[in-house]
Amino acid sequence: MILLLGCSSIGEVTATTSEDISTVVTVSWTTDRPTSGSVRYLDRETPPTPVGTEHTAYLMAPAEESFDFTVVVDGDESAHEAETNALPVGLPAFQVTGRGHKGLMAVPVIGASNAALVLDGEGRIVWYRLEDRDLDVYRARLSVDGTSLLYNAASVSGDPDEDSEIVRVRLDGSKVTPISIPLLAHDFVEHDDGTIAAMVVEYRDGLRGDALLEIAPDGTQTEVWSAWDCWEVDATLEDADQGWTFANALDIDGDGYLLSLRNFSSIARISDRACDWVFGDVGATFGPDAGSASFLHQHQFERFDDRLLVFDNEGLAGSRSRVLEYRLDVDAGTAEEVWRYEPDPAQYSFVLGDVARLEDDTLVTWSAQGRIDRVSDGEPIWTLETPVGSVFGFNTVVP
Amino acid sequence: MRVVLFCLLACGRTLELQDAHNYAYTGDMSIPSTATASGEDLSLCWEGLVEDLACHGIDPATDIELLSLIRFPHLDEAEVEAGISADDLTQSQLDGYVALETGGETCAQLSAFDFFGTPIDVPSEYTAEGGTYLLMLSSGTEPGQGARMLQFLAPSADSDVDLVDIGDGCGTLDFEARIEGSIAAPEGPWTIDWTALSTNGAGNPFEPTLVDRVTVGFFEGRSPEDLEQSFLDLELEATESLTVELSEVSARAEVDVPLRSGGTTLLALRCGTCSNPAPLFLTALEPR
Repeated sequence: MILLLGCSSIGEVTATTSEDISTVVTVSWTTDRPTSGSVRYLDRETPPTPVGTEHTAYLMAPAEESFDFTVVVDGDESAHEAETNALPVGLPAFQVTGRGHKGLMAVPVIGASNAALVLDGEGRIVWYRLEDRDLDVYRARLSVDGTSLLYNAASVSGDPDEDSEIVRVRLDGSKVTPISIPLLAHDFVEHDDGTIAAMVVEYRDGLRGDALLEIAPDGTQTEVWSAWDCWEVDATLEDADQGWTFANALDIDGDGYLLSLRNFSSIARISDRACDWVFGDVGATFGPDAGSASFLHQHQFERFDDRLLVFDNEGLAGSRSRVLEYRLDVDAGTAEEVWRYEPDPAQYSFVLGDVARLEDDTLVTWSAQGRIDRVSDGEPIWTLETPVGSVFGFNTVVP
Repeated sequence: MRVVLFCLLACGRTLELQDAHNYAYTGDMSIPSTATASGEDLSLCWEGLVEDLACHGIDPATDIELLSLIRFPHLDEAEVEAGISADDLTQSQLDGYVALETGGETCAQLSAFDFFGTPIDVPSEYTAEGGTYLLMLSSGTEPGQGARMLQFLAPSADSDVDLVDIGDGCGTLDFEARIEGSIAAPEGPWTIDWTALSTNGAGNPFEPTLVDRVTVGFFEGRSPEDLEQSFLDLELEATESLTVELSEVSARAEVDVPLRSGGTTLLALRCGTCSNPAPLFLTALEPR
């Protein structure tokens, strides 16, 4: 532990490098009156601490790095130094080419290593947790209070797992809280009040479908939607043996959810156990406008303003994936394609895959290819790649 | 010619490893290739696989635990071989990966392979136009690790072969090593420090994050030249050996082994997750 003396309203400051996660430094300080504060470091700033007189913030930095940080409270500043330790063996080393991406990403790796990671723009690991059970990690996201990382440990290879969990890990690794959710699927989200919503597999009459669970902060689990709420069963659909609907990605959408259904090649808007609208193919209330491309076996997506970005795994002929962007008018039931990204040479992620809009650029995660591109004006300006044997799960941009 | 670098680089009890100490390794992969029918299911059998890539004897039923089929859309077979030799292939150079745990069997159908529960669609995904297909037969079930044998499958419209017998791996890796560097070492224990290394034994950039174990082996009655043909078998061939498994990425390790005369002591930095089994660094230690 390094003991540092601060100044002004900022009292004693301590910076402790975590013994559990060697890339995390815990900064604690006191103030002489109840207030909030934050820490600036490495061109980043931690979320504001809750109002009080004792404060803790977690800094995520590359391994074996010495760096400066500044505690900021009500305009007062207190500057200090910290350092991180070495990474454990067994984590992949990433290659980065190009430039122009600086933010943090919470992204799991699956394969040679199974881990929830946070990476910086240089492809350096700034947070990690190895998952050594025989379960995969598909989604990792920073908790809404900024003090923990949540990830799912599940299996969608074959049958889902009864022992699957969402795991909450305090950023310094000092506390790990598993939330048992049998038959957990690929994706989950967290609401501002701490309620988690997770996709799970549901079986009825021997048929595999999907459901959504909400897990309240007190741990209460409630099923809030089932695929049987929206559609009549059609067990003749392609790949029905893997699941009639095969939900594979989830986002919050205002007071409801958006859910991607792989075997429907559709994205459904869900609230109050109903489908408000369904965009795509099977079970859809509307599809792409005439002249606009359709998607097939899509995974993650992003809705913002009047737009919908879709990671389209197999809409192109041959082994090629792409990104489609639509202008949606759900009241009118129209969806005009306004942009697409089809890289040359082609990229192909036959499972998973993610897309996000960053200012004027687009972050594309070709999960099965272990590749993330930041695309600007139709060209990748920054690329992060895994070595052979590791693929990415979904990608969550850390605010 | 053997080069002995004295003191300066190995004074005190810290052995500072330098590029000049390192062995020189060249390895050519000659992975067998079998033309098969395109878009057709295949029977893959490996009961005749009794020696692996390093010419070690194996039991095909128990040592081969995972089959992986990897498709490289834009690389030919020679480029894949070069990438494996240099250990610099990235996941994005492949666009298809399916696998199958063998469960003790010695034959499998290609159509049984899958990825995250999504089965291969053989008619559309195993085709002459798809690229280069590499079949990896591995111990353990970690993707991309533990390779015991490699085999190209080459779907062709001109072939009607639907049974592939995978033979021995011995001879697939043709290597040459020259152990010319050495370090005059004091009595241990030592701190082995590889901060200064910039190239590995194959002449490629040294990647410190790959080092996950340090091995020191004593080979009684043998010279470095004798060991140039068996350096892949440090632990098997050594009269005595000690391997330190690293728990964290580091450029240093503590090793305590008495130096003996009457033979050769080799120090190796190794990578257990690399596709190429050659040590990243290898040198002889000589009692000072």
